[in-house]
Amino acid sequence: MSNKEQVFKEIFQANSKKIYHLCFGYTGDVDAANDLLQETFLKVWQNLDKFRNQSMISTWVYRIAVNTCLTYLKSEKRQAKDELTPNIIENKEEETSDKQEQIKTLYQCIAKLEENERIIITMVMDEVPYPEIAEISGISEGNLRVKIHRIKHKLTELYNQHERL
Amino acid sequence: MKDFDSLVGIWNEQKTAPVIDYKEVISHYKESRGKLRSKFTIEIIAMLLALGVVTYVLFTTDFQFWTSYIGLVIVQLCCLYFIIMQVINISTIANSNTLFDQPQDHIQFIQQFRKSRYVQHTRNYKVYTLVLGLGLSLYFIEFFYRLNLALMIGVVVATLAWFIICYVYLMKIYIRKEEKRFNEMLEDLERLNKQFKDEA
Repeated sequence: MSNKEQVFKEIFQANSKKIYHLCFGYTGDVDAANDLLQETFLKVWQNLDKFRNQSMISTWVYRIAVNTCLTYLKSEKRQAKDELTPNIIENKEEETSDKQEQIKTLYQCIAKLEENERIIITMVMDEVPYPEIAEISGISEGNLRVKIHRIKHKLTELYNQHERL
Repeated sequence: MKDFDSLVGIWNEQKTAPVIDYKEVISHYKESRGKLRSKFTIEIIAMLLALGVVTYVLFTTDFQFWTSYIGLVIVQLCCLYFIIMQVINISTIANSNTLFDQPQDHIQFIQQFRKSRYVQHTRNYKVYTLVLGLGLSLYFIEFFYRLNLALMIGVVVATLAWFIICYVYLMKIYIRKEEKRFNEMLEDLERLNKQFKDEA
């Protein structure tokens, strides 16, 4: 394995799961999320040399993923689905447990948020530090905190409404 | 009633994971880069060949009418325009590194790029077709005096028919589709632009 491949493998393994969550939260669709993940890492591979001197590689990977998501929606005209397909959860052959139902509901609620809100909240839930989210989204930290507060409230409301139905 | 921390708890329980691994990404990159490169190369080579043929005819044939020379020069310019536009598009895509920029800047780049593609695909394409048609029409004047009447009529009718189909039918459908896509895209990008404005 070449040095480049080794570096890429490490970046992929360290970031792919979180980037997948971001893509999935954004599109609400398994196939689209996998396409977006692939597209994001294609661009990472293509620009790997430019990453070498960056201290926060994950920020750049996230930045590429966010920009890829935004462009992808435009080019493919896919919209986040209100009704998620049942196979959104891995191990679909297993009987749908309460936990899985809750995860499905959570993704359905995320799909109802605005595009930038979906992006920000998936990063918050994956515990990306606030300064990094601010750097990725281009929003100042102060404004971001206010935004996050609103999105948290909105998502919790949506979830609880959904549960009451 | 759940609070946000409970939702994070649910989030952390998920087993959702990508179905691709890093090796697939690398092999897909190599494959798609090869395909894209050959697509552009074939298009440019085809147009260079057409340009070569036209240039050869221009310099080796002794035309009786000046219209033939003007006509062929116009056709050459159309070929050159096509090649230049392809090269500009390829280099714009290759040199654009707005992926690393903040989302708002990236969105603006995409807006501008799509706008220029839209103009190319609609207004410029219309002008391109008309100019190419003019070039060929001028070239065909000489045919009236060189070819027999039946053959001449056949060539002119076939060419005219092709231009009419392209201009009146195919291009209108194409432009209508482009316009619809462009307007939807612009609407989406403007909405996203607003969302990413740095104001809480």
